[in-house]
Amino acid sequence: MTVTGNLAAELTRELNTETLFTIPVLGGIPINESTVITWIIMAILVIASILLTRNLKVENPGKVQLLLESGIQWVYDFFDDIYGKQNRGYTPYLMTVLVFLAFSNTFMVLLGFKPPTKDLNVTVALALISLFLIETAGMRRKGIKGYIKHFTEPVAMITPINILEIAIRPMSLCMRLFGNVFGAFVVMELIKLIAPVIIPIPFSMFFDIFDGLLQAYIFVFLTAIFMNNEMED
Amino acid sequence: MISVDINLLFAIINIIVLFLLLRKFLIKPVRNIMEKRDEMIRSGLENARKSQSDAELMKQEYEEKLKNAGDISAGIISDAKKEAEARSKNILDEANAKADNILSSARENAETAKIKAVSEAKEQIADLAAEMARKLVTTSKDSNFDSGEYDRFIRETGDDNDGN
Repeated sequence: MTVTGNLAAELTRELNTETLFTIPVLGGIPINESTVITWIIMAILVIASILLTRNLKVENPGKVQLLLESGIQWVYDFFDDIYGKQNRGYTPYLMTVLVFLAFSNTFMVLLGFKPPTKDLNVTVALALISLFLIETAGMRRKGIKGYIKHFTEPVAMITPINILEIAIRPMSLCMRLFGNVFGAFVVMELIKLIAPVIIPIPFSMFFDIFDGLLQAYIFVFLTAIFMNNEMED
Repeated sequence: MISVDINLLFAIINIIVLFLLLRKFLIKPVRNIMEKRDEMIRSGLENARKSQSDAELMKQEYEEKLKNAGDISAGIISDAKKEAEARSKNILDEANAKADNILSSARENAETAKIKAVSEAKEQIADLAAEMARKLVTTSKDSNFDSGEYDRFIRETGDDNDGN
């Protein structure tokens, strides 16, 4: 009993999103762990970007530059295939989300941080931005009139379902991401509590690296597909 | 555990700021470089195509010029041949004329020499006749003028005249 009691207590402690500190204005603004980790990720990514793009050359690029270019080209091609070259303007944002999610789901976890996507705030934030992008993509393509009209297509009867879809799509995005990362985190914590040596390694490979990358991929992939659906005539 | 609070706003701001930063520091520089390279390759190809067509044009020009040069040289050669022929004909004609001149003057000379010789011979014959007549006159006193005496005289005078 004590072992399982300890385990449960340990687990709930790990699962809680801790408030690291409180800014003492307006009656105290709590700053979550995930927000601070996001800041760290931002700092690492920006510094890495500056370091990687220091010596870009048009001719005779180095190995690092070639890797960087082929990676970025791959992402551009990937999104071009989904919503076409004419909508390339959305790609930098989706690339940012891809890099951020891949980095926070895998690298930060391997460094020992809690993934920020384990906090519902972050996934809801990502989903809200996706919602905004999906709907504005449709509005920009079809105009306000066409955008409103498309809710009644293909038949007027499904208009309520179409309207519900506005909320359902980002909800599914956010909950899928949150559920996967949170679930992986819980399983990993349990494994680490029960068998802390060697055994977690293969599980970490799957839950942290494979699942983390997969969720990052799925999130941007689905956002792009939803955008394409909205932009299609 | 599953709750949404003010950190949602922070997360949104963080993501947007991260997007702006990554766009400025990662995506734009790399895309710029890639576009520049694309542009360079495209302009390089364009230049190559242009210089190739230029070279083609030049080649055509040269070929035409070469052909013209062949025509011109053929013209020059045929002119030179004609001139040479004309000149050789001239020279031949001149030489023929000179030869004719020389021949005719030689003939004239020979003629005059002959005439001179004949007139000289005539003179000598006249002298001879005169001599003979004088001798006849001087020897006829004896009236034994014989043919032996005559033959001797002819021989003497002939020997004298052989010196000419």
